[in-house]
Amino acid sequence: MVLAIAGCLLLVYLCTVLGAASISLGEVNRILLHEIFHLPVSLEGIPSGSIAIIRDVRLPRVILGFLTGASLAVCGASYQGIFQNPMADPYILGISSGAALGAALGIVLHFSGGFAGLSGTTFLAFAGALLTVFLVYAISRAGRRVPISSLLLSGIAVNQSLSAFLSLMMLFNQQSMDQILFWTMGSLNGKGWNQILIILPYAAVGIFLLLTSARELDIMLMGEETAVQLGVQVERVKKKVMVVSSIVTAAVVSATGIIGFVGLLVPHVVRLFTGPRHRVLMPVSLVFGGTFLILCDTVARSAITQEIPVGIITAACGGPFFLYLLRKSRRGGEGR
Amino acid sequence: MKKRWLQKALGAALSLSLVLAAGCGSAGQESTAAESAAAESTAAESMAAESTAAESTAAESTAAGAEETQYPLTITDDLGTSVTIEAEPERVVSLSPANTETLFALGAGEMVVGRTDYCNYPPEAADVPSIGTYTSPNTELVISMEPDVIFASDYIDDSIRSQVEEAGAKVIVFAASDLEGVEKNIQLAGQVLNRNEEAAALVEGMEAEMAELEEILSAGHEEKSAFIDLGGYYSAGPGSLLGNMLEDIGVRNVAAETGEMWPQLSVETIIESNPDVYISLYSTPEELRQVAGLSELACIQSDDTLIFYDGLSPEADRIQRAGPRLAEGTRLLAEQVYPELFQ
Amino acid sequence: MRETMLELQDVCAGYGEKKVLQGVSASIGQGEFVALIGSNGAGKSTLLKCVSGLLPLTGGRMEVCGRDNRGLKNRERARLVAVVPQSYSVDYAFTVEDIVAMGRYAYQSFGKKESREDAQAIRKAMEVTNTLEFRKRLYNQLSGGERQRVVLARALAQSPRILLLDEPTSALDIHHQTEVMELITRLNQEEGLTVLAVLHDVNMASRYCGRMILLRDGQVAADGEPAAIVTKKNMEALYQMKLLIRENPLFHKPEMVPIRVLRGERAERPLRIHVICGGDGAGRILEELDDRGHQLTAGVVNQGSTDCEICRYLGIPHVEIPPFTPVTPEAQKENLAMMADADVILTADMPFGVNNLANLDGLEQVKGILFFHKNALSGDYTGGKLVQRLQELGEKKKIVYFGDHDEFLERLREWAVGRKEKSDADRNAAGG
Repeated sequence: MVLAIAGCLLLVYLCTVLGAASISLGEVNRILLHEIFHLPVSLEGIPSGSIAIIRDVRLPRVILGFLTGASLAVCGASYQGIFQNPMADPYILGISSGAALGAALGIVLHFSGGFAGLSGTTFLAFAGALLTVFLVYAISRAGRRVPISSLLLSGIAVNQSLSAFLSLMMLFNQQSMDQILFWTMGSLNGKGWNQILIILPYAAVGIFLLLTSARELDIMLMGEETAVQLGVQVERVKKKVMVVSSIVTAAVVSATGIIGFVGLLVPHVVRLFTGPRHRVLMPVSLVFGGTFLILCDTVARSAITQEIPVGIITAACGGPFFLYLLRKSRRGGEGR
Repeated sequence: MKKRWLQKALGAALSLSLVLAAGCGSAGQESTAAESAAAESTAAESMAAESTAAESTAAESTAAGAEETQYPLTITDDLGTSVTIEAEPERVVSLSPANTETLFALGAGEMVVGRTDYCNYPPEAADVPSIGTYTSPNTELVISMEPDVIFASDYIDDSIRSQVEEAGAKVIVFAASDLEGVEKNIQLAGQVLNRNEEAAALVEGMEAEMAELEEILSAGHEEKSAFIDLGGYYSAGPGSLLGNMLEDIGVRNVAAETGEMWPQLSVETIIESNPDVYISLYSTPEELRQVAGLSELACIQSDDTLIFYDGLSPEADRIQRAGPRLAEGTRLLAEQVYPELFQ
Repeated sequence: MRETMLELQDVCAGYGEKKVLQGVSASIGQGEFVALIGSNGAGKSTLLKCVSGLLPLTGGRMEVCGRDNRGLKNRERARLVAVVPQSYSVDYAFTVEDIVAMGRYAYQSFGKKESREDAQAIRKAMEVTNTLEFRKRLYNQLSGGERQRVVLARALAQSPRILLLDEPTSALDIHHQTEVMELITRLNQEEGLTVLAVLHDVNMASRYCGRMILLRDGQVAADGEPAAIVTKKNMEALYQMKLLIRENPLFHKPEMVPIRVLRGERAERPLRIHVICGGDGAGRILEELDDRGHQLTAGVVNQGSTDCEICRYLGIPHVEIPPFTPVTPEAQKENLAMMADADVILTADMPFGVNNLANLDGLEQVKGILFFHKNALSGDYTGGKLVQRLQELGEKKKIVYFGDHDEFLERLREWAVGRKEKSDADRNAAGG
């Protein structure tokens, strides 16, 4: 654990050093020591732009990347647990399209008001995401029970219809089409401390709550009936995991746009190494998801002179990597 | 992309064959079409020939000046398609705001029977019925207006294009990305609509405006840099209309380094470049000033150097539409970047 | 009076509109091993679901260890009741130990480490079920029998007072079926665990369980010791087929022998057939002829032989003598009396010795045609007397020799057809 944390900090540092703007290693170190640790280091000779880049752009972006990746990975692991479905990801209940629709509304109406440095778009995306989940939940509810299969199906259905609404909205507002499209590709560009502040409380509390459900999630993989017979309050666990994951995912998505594959792939990759026990799977997914997104975002912002939406990088790297691992483990004969 | 290329190649082949046919005397249309099929194999070579042919046509028309257009008239549009206009058009549809502006500026407003939802200039254009958006116009509506000629943008879909062409309309695509291209298209439109005189006057006016601007800018000044934010830090790079305008007025475009036409820049790249002027066509100044790091930039902090044109404002239209107001737009940009020269 | 572990009073339950349980009442005491039997859809599994809290009651009342089942939280119930399902596979790579440890969930809470009690319970559960040695292996790589033991271990780790089993052996081969049932019996006897098991193998239920409850149409049709439940009447009603009930000589428990569901073709004209048998070779032909509707008699059979048993099960009139005694003239007299009216006399596949050669005495006097199984000639322990006897007989009446079961049936058919034609011709002649 200590090793993992040390590794993460090292990665955060390395990725802060790397970037599109060329700032020397020495300068980066001096800026970090002065601005973050408030040590009496002289900043003489360093352009103020460089200070702003490190302090306000790169470092928060790296931290935001970790937070985003970690949240999505843990939520993905939880969803795969309660749905007993390896194809589940944080967006399975329609959060992404709900958030996209909210964001599109924000972009079209162009709320410039905002609050605490966050645009109206962020708020509308958050609201859209949560409303969608509640809608899916309400549709699939049968009395006091919420059957998994109807959740998945109504998730898909709502996803589809919201996507249609989104397309319609883009059609009627062509001057905003590009903006909406860029939003859905997901990016950490231009995002920093403000976004960290919105995600952090949800992510911290949410991830903690999800970690407390590790035992239940293990047992849920045995099937709902068995889980009841082993003493799990299945409906309550489902509700808890769904509500918590949805809020965390909604917060992340509203701040960063739709970043795919992390929530789906990271838990799978981690499971290949740790086995399916959530007490191990979830913390490792947290760390691995966070570092994976930091790496992808570093590529996104510094590979070429222009930005690449990080969602494209995660999909491009994550997919083949996962397929490679899958084939390798199949060949090993492990029935995982 | 591939389709575009194919179109160009085929168009080139067709135009070449037409040129050949013209050289041979008065050959009939049918035999020309047959020859064009035979000439397809030489499509690649003909590319070069095509561009000179197009230029010569344009030059000819300029020289012709106030002369009446002789129909049938064959022109080559911005996609390299050869279009033959059989007789003077009476009804035209415009599929882009810029084209609408051009048509009205040529005094052909009466002929315009259809426009897009976004055609808001000149105000009279609002009286013309709309056919939908420029990316997905309602094909049935367009056809029902029975246009002789459709002035489209390069957004037009191939399938829509072939449908309206089958219905008898000629489609001319205007997709200029600089002032020269715009002027050429204005002349071409004038020729097609038999408004040669008006076109010449319009181009002359634009040239005069540009000459005046050039003189002001030649007064001597330090080169300034600018970043154009189309929203989400997407910018206009080299080859784009805005990118070419910045080049014309001697402004260093921060996005030029990427070499891409529509690049997205990292915030840190923008900060590092430290542009003198920040032109936002999407995000409001309040929003930009709340972006950590970006807010440290001098150009963001001052209202004089943080220029915001809302996407639907007249200023934004002026600098983004490849139409007759582009010279005005260019001047507007110059005034924003080098205000000291215009006092 | 022992403690009541499970009390059912007019329990009703179902799925949506479909009513499955319609007033089931029973009381199960501590340490009982009760089998639930009944046809498909009778409500066996539904009843287990009600007990384990998966299905709410729509009527009646259910008490588990003296507490209303409705008021129990899942966690509380899991400490009292554990369930072993038919079988299941897990898509994820859990080890055996992981799976067994899940049984302790009801005793744990977040933040608390596994207690010593937990560890002990897990270890003991694995010891009892012989799963300790492969505790590190992956569950989904185990064989069916091993998996079932692991699932049983998980149930035991719950330290339950009642163990519910839902056809726990249906996916296993005989070896593993027996192994699992023995394990459960041991737990029942040694640990005093109360067991309620849905079993569809009646013989297994009869053999291992002290009590059986027969469900029919969502109600208790019979409840009691195996001897009271495994009766011809109950079983024929349950399985809708021909079967026989006997006492298993090894376990002294009633045992059901299924015979047939589809009936063979009925003979057009039932014949009176006497079968000379007595060893263990006539069972099949007796049953088959009986099934076709022929009127059978048999003799002389030794008590304790299979043929004798079968005559008793099928209710065939027969002459019997004590085992290992020769056929006495009195017995043969009785035998001949039975043969007197027979159309056909069949000598089944049986070895002849000096003791039973008397079976063939006096056959000259009866009118029936004699069919003789050739195997008896190869199993001749009479020192040539059998062949001699057959020669004598053959001079006086017709003997049809045949080689096997099917040949006999064929010959019998041919003979019956011939006889019918002859009698028809006679009648025509008489009429003409």
